[in-house]
This record gives sequence, C-alpha cells and structure tokens, in this order.
Amino acid sequence: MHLLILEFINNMKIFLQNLFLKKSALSGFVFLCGLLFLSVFIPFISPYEQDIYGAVHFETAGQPPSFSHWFGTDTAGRDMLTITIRAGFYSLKVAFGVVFFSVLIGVPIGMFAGVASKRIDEIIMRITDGFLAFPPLILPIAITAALGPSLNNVIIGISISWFPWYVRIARSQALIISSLDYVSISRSMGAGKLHVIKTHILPNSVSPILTQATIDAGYAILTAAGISFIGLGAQHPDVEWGLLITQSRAQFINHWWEVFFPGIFILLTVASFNIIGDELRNTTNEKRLNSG
Amino acid sequence: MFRYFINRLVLMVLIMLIVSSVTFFIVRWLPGDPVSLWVGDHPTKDQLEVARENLGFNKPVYKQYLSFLKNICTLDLGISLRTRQPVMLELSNRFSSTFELVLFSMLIAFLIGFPMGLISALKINTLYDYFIRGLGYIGLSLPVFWLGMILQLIFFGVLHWLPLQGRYAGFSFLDTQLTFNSGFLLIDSFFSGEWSLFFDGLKHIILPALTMSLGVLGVVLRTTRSAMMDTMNEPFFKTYRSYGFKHGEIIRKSAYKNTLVPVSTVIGLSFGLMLGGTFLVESIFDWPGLGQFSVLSILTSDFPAIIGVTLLYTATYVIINFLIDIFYALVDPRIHQ
Repeated sequence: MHLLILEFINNMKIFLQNLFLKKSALSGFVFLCGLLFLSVFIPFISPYEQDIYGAVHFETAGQPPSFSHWFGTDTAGRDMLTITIRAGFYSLKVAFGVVFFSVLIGVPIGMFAGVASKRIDEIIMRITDGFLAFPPLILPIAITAALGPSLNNVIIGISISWFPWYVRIARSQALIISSLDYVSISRSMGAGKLHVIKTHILPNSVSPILTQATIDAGYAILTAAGISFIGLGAQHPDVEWGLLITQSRAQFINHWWEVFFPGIFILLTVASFNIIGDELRNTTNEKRLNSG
Repeated sequence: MFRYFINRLVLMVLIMLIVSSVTFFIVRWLPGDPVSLWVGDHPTKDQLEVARENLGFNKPVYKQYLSFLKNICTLDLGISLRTRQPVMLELSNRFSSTFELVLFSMLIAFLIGFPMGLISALKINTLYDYFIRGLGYIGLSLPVFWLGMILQLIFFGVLHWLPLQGRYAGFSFLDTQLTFNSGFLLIDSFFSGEWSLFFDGLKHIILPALTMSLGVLGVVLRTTRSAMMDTMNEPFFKTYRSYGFKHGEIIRKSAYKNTLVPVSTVIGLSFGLMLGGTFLVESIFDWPGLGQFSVLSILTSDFPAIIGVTLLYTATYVIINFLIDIFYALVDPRIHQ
C-alpha cells in the first residue's frame, strides 16, 4: 500500500511541475487558490459579514457599484462583493464533491469491468451507455428533484449522472494496461486481478483520471449554477452564483451589477479549471509521445 | 454495410429501452403524488381513490411497468397530468420551436466557428490564434443563462434593437393565416409570403440562438483547429507544400475535408447537448419549447410528460448520431469499407 502512496505522491509532483511550466495554467491555479482562500475567510475580512447569513438592509437596497460597495448591492441591500466571493465557497464545494463521488463510484466499477470476464464487462458497459444517452441536465435535475432541492442533493444528482464517464476512462485504461507484456507476465506468475489493479492499473490511470476530473470540476460548477438557477439547487440564506443571478431576474435590466458579477465569477472559475485540465492533457500527451 | 445498419438499429432500440426504463423508475421515486395533480386542490378521499384507480397508480409497480412498455410500443405516451392533453400532442407542438432554435444556433456556430478554426490553425501562435483560443475557452465556460441575460441587457435594455423575449410579437399577428404549416415559424412565414412575420420571427430568434451558439462555437473552434493542425502534419500535406502550393490553397481545395469527420462528430454530440440544455435559454427568453415543458413536468412530477420528453430527447440524439455515421461514410470512403 505504501508503494501506491509513494507512486501517487510522485505523480502529484510531476503534475505540479508540469503545471507551473505553463503561465496560463499557473494563473488559473492562482485564481482558484485565491478564490478558495478569500471565500473561506471573507466573513473575517468583509465589513458586511452579516450579509452572508441573509441579513436585510432595505436602506441600502439596489445601489450601483461605489466605494463602499465595490460590486453594488442587491434588492435586499446585501453587499454583492461579499456574497459573490462567499458563493465561491459553495461552488468549489460542488466541484470537489461531484468529482470526488464520481471518481469514487466510477473508477472501481470501470477497473473491475476492464479485468472482469467479457459478459460482465458487456453488461456494465451497456448500463453506463444507458446513463450517457440521457439528455444532459435532465438526469441531474430529475434526481435532484427526487431528493429535494438543496446543494448537497445537486452534488449527488450530478455525481450519479456523471460517474459513467469515469467507468469508461478507468475501463479503457485497465484494458490498455492489462494488455501490456509486463502485466501478462505478472499474471502468468500468479498475480491476482486485485493485485494487477492495485500495482499496475491504478498508478498508471492517475493522470487521465485527474485530467478528466479537473475539467469536470468546472462543468460541475456550471451545471450546479444552472440547477440553482431554476430553483432546485442552493436555497435562500445560502449564497450560490446561479441562485444570486436568478434572485435578480426581476430587475436585472435596471440593475446590471446584480447579475454581471456572479456570472463573471462563474466564467473565470470554470475557465480556470478548463485551462488547467487542458494543460494537463497536453503534458501527458507529450510525455506519451516522447516515451513512445 | 447492411449488417452494420441492422446492428446500429438494434443498439438504438436497446438504448431507448434502457433510458425509458431508468426514467420510469426515477420518476416513481419523485416526491409528490401525481394523482393530486390530476384531481386539483382540496380533493376528497374518494376522488383520490377513483383517480388512482383510473390512472392505474394503484397497481403494483411491475404491472405499471409492463403496461407502460406495451403502450410505448404503440407510441402511446399517455396523457399529461398537468395540461390534460395527450403527451404526444404537447411534444409535437413544442418540438418544432425548440428544433428551430437549436438548428439556427447550430448554423451560427458552424458558419462562424469552422472558418475561424481553420484560420487559427494556419496562424498558429499569433495574436489572432490566441484570441480564437480565448474565445473557445469563454464559449465553454460561460453559463448560458447569464450570457442570455447580458445579451438582453445590451440589445434590449441599452440599445433597444431587439425584443426581450418570445417567439414573435403575438398580438400583431393574430389574424395572420399561414398557407404553409410545418411548425417551423421562419420557414412557414417565408413560404407563405408573410414578410413582416418572418422578419419579426428572425428578430426574436437572434438573441436566444446567439446565446446557445456560443458554447458550441467554442467546441467547433477547438475541434477544427486541432483537426486542421493534425492534417497539416500529414505526408500528403507536406507533399503539396513541397510542390509549392500555398497553405490556404491546399486547405481550400482538399485538406478541409479531413476536418469534416471530427467536426461533424462534435456537432452531432453538441446537438444532443443543446437539445437537453435549451431549457435555461427557453426560460430566459420565454421560448415556447420543450425545455420549459420538461422542467415544469419535473417540478410538478407529471409522470407521463417526463417520460415522453426524455424519450423524445433521447430518440433525437440517437437518430442524429445515426445520421452522422452515415455522413462519415459519405465524407470518408475509408470508413465505408
């Protein structure tokens, strides 16, 4: 087991080294870290920390951006800067939650399918095909509606809809790696399936899964914002970007700042995840090309 | 070739079956009693019982499932509990308006994205290329509902150029009789010669179509660019180069064909993505399409409607992918063999 952890740490080191070689990926990484830091500590920094918990100040309602309220205020008089930053915390929670659960469910099933007998593999793959044939967004919305509207249920809903992608990646990785010579030699010397998964397949699957997970983290935020937008996601005193935008729908033609800033933050966050994921894919492809 | 089509056909039916079954059981798990939707507010116990009996919700789930499968085979999707219209009728009324919107935005995305991607591959690592790549990232990362609202803000709120929402200015055209009826407003009004309606419809479709196209535009841009770059590394391209042909000339006359296969794949996939993703755009622009219908159905646990919508989406998606496979065979004869 400790070998596995060492391998993982080594992979992470290469991952971070590669990442910082590219300026664009670095700036995305810095943005995400900054957002995480600020959104966690915003209650201690902002003078309007009560707004995070749903305070109402009608005397300051609907003000455009100014020195005291950089992003303006919403219809309840909350400081948009404070709640927009705070909403980042919930969006990052969705991103990590969705990726965590999808990987946790998808990867073991996929690897099992890759080393299992042909019939079991076939059954698992047809079931995942069924999941993937659903129109996107409809399945997460239906599951969230079934569980009841809340941000945690959005995480569950998206994870259930997306884990089949990880089944596919893990399975194809398992198939590729178990066809390599050293793996068949190790099997001929009596290595069991579990051993092959643990020592050969898993360590070699880290980088494609990590790449997919990074990109998906961004899309999870986008999807969750959409679900919150129709009212099934985060609920009022909580703040979430999609929810903030939908709360301002009635007056956004006159109050552009209430809609503009949360959207810009969604855009920047999702783009950061996308850019990092792309760089990751490029570096792993280069590595493969150089070695092969 | 024939066996290939049969295989694909069987697979299509299988996927539809899985999707409808999964939907059937998820829907049974939704909170809220569908019967209460049917009987309205403040029902008596007897009314509930009678309705449950009539709608068949009192039978065990596996029996409901069997009769559901039987109905599906005869294309009977039941009656919507919310609108009390046959689901089939509701869907056919709304499908054309959503399809029109998706087609229009697909057209925008392709007409802009494809040439831009080709040029971007030619001018790699120039300022233009960086701009295109940036645009690609923005297209992929933008929340559509936000983009829609910002466009409304600019073109309706500030510039007053385009209408805020809707499919056409309803009251002005109450008396307009169309001689051509396909359900696609733009085509119908065009062939009926109702020019004012045609231009009104065009004005109304621009903003929602633009909103939806940007996401696909990003995908088309990136795919075209990377496919073109791969093609430029191929021996045939280098041979042409060594004969002294210019890059642009080779691409215009021959090399662009190599990018059509990946680009058409992407377009097919995003078609499904768009169809499923219309509801956010439809709710912002008040577009009378499938997206709104499906979300309302889910929110009110209108069982037959949810299943109908999902089946329709999936069928469209599967059929489009099927058509694209045929298109491959036409574009690239190697796949044909």
